[in-house]
Amino acid sequence: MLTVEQKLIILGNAAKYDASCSSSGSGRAGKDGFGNGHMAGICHTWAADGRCISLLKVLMSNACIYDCAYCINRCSNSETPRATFRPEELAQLTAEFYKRNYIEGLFLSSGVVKTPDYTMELMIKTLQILRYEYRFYGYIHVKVIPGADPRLVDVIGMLADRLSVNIELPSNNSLKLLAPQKERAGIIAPMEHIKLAKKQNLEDRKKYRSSPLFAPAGQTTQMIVGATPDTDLSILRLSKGMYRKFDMKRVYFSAYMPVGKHPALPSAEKPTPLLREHRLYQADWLMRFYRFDAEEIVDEKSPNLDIELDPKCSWALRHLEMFPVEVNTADYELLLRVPGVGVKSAQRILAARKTRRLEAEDLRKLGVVMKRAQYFLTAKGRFVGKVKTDSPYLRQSLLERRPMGQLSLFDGSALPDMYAKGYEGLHISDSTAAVMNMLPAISAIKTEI
Amino acid sequence: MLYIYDGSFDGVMTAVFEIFDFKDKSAMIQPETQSENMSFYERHRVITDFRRSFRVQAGLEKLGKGVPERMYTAWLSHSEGIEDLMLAAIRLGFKYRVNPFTLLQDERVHALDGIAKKVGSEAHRMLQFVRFVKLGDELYAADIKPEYDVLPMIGNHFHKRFPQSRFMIRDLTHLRAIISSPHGWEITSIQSAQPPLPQNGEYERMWKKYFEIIAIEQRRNLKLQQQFVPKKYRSFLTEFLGEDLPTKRKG
Repeated sequence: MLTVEQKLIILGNAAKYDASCSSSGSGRAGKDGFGNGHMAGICHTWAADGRCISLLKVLMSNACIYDCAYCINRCSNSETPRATFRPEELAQLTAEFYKRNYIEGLFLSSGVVKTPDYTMELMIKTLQILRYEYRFYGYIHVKVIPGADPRLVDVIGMLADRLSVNIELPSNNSLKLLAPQKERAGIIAPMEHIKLAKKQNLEDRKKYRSSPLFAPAGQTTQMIVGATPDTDLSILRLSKGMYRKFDMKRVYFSAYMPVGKHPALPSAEKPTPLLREHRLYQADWLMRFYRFDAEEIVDEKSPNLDIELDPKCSWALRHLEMFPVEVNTADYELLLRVPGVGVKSAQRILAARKTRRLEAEDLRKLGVVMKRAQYFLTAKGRFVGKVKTDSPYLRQSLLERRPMGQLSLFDGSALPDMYAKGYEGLHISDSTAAVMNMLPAISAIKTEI
Repeated sequence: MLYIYDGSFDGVMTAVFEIFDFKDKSAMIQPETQSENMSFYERHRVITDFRRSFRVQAGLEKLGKGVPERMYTAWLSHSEGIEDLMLAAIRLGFKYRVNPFTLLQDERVHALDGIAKKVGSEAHRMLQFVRFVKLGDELYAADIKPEYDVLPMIGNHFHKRFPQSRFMIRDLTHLRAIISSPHGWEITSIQSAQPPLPQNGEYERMWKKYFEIIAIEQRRNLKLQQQFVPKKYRSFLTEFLGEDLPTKRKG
């Protein structure tokens, strides 16, 4: 018999490659027990890899009957020790951690133990103990097991704050190749079901205000990037579809970590660089908050994101005819398109210029990142950049960063071949420095502040 | 004229009311604890008046949602001259009839906003970093050492989160503590010598273990970790206790 601590080690290890750790979007509360949702979410600590820990992220079980090539818990992997929590154990562990303010709640996923239905029932039992016996109102994110009875999804949706179903891989072909026991249709069905159940729940709540909320923080999904040759264009198109069709709150990307050998998988020496994942998140941000369309960011001609430059800068470089923009007259939409101007600083510009016309010196105080914005803005007609917008050196100027070469998040050797070309003539230290400047952004994205 | 207030937020707000009332163009505000060495100014002692304070705050709220709270956050820094920055921002806000914190191009507003940001972000850090130790049935305690006096900003969060428990959060920098019970919460002063809290229970051990294994070894990035968890906050963080504070890795 394994102790709870041993199970925690096995099942925490098994869950750590999951990308999401967000605890936002739910305001659940109750006075007869403990815990509540914090709308913006709270990260409680950061692990040695720099990722935030907000939820107790564990699997119910890693004794999986499936054999997906990219997964550490595939049944053919004889090196992985197996464990399954009893619902009481996991509920108590969650409650005890929560009461010490270690976590915002539980992120529960699972390998498929026996059958999808059996697995879901274990998870439901855990949540029932937490919600009904402990009167726990903290955050719970549950990963729905594809293939489980839709009625079980209905039950768990009433207990959880957020549901997610992993789309796993960006295309059906990739899925067939690496996860032969899973089918696109089997993954899409629960997404569809969650969307409809949530809609139905909103209708019900109009009639009966006391009916319980169904997944108040909505649904999300996740896909592994870099295990297959899918392009960024197809990835972004897919995520656009996910947002539209299923009202997804988030689409997560997870740079592939080699955990198994398979003829179709990239070799262990070539993990997908985190930078590609980061660029995809930047593109995702542009679609969700900056009113960009997927096809504006990448197209058939260049289906992959520029690894050297962030997607907004590369978009601006392809549309120089729109710049420079005058900060005192440009409308919100246009300001949002300026590299170095974010949602917040664009709103600040609108508010600040009501009282007086803005000078270039004001922009930094308003939170504009002048390092990038200088090449694309005028203030009172005055251009502030070191290099003109139409200069052939503009791209080079945007790439110049402070030298910070001491720490390597990834190095050139880890680049897959598809990016190697873009790196000709670029020093490795430059690329490292570029990553260093992004680091806060990477984690900020993950924590969804 | 130099307006001396009693050191409470309602005191500053009353001072602001009087300054607008007297149409005093060259006013300065200081708490009584700070004002000794400004003897050549004409002084006026402000008597804190909750109704006047409330009227100023209501006026500020009309300029923008959350403006009084943001003023309060900045004021909690208790930094020297904070009252004058607040006064300047409030004047500008009423002059242009806008949220004063949107006037960031003004040097003083920018400074005030920066201070509010610092205090606010430390308060948020305390929501993240408070680590309770269980002392008995529904009885918990935690220690923190924040730079700013943020207890007033976090009490409600924890009281609402654990409405059935009795708990204490001790601020060892400012020697004050939140005391919370099902009936409500308050802040009291504490002695400087406080016994340390026991951090060696089974859940502390399991949390440390979990914290260790959840990191992806191939992506180790201590610098990034330190950006989010500065070393000065680690002395009471269960998951960092007992480990040698990591020295910078070379390479």
